[in-house]
Amino acid sequence: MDDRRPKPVVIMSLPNNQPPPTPKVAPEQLEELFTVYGAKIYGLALRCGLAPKEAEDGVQEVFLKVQRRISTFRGEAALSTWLYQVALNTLRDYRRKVVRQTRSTPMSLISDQPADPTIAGASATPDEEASILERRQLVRNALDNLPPKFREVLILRELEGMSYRDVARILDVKQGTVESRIFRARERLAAELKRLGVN
Amino acid sequence: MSQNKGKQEWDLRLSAWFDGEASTMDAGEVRAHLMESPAARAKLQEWRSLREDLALLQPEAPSAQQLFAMQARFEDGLAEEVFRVARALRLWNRAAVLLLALGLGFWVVDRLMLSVPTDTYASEPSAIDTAIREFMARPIPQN
Repeated sequence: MDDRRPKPVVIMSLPNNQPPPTPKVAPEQLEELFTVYGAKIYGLALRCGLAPKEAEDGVQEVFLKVQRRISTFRGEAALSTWLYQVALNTLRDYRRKVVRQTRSTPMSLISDQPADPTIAGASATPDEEASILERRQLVRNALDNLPPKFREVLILRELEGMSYRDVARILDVKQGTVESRIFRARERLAAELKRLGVN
Repeated sequence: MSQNKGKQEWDLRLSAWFDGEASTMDAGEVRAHLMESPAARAKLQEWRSLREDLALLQPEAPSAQQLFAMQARFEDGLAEEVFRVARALRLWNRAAVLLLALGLGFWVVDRLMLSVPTDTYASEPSAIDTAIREFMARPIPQN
């Protein structure tokens, strides 16, 4: 049993067939929310292509926005879905701001976060490691070159491991749209990787 | 044309199956399709390879220290935000009180001005006025 698994934060309980009231959230509850979801949102920020420092700033922006907007959470979806929705929108804007500030430096050049060491494998030789890093950079570039709507579905589905239903809720589109968008995103990514010389 | 449409439909169903999102009935049909279509198997292989490539982007989980620093920063930010909102509210309150006082002041002055009669002299009659009045009041000599 993994003790580090985050406990779910209960903002309110919803009685059946009753419109949910607007929740009032105390600062302590927000801090608890950060404890549970902080690492996940940080991970999302990195997956969206932000460098570690920018990701930290992005997480800060996300939770401050959550604090301002928590009154708009009606309890119709899971809190985590709502949080991801806010996070994705905030990180999208933040990413745009960072790109503007760095004067069109591609995100791939500033996104030098360390990858999960288990991916490269502990026994990888320096050559293998360099080759993996190079491939990783190319994949990052390819993903960054996709239009945001394709990039986001791939991040949510492939990197966050979300179901089509959750992706649809977060992006506020129909499940069928997610289905076709993921398919098209894969086609575009494959073409982009081919263009960058990755086989 | 319809062949393309058919292929696209199969691709979509294959994609949903690949993601574990196909219904049981659909999954059976997709498996049967895979058995007879080398193109579908190649597509599946391509997606598996893409999935492996995307897995390279999985970041390292943040350390406990990093999380602690982020949480502390967030709490500071939260406190600052609360302070900022409170200060803005205080400023708005002051501005509202000031406006109210000004409005009240203008109203009082306006009322006072209206209560002053308009046909009164602004100052005492001058000496020449008094002299003229006395002259005019003198009785006319009878000769």
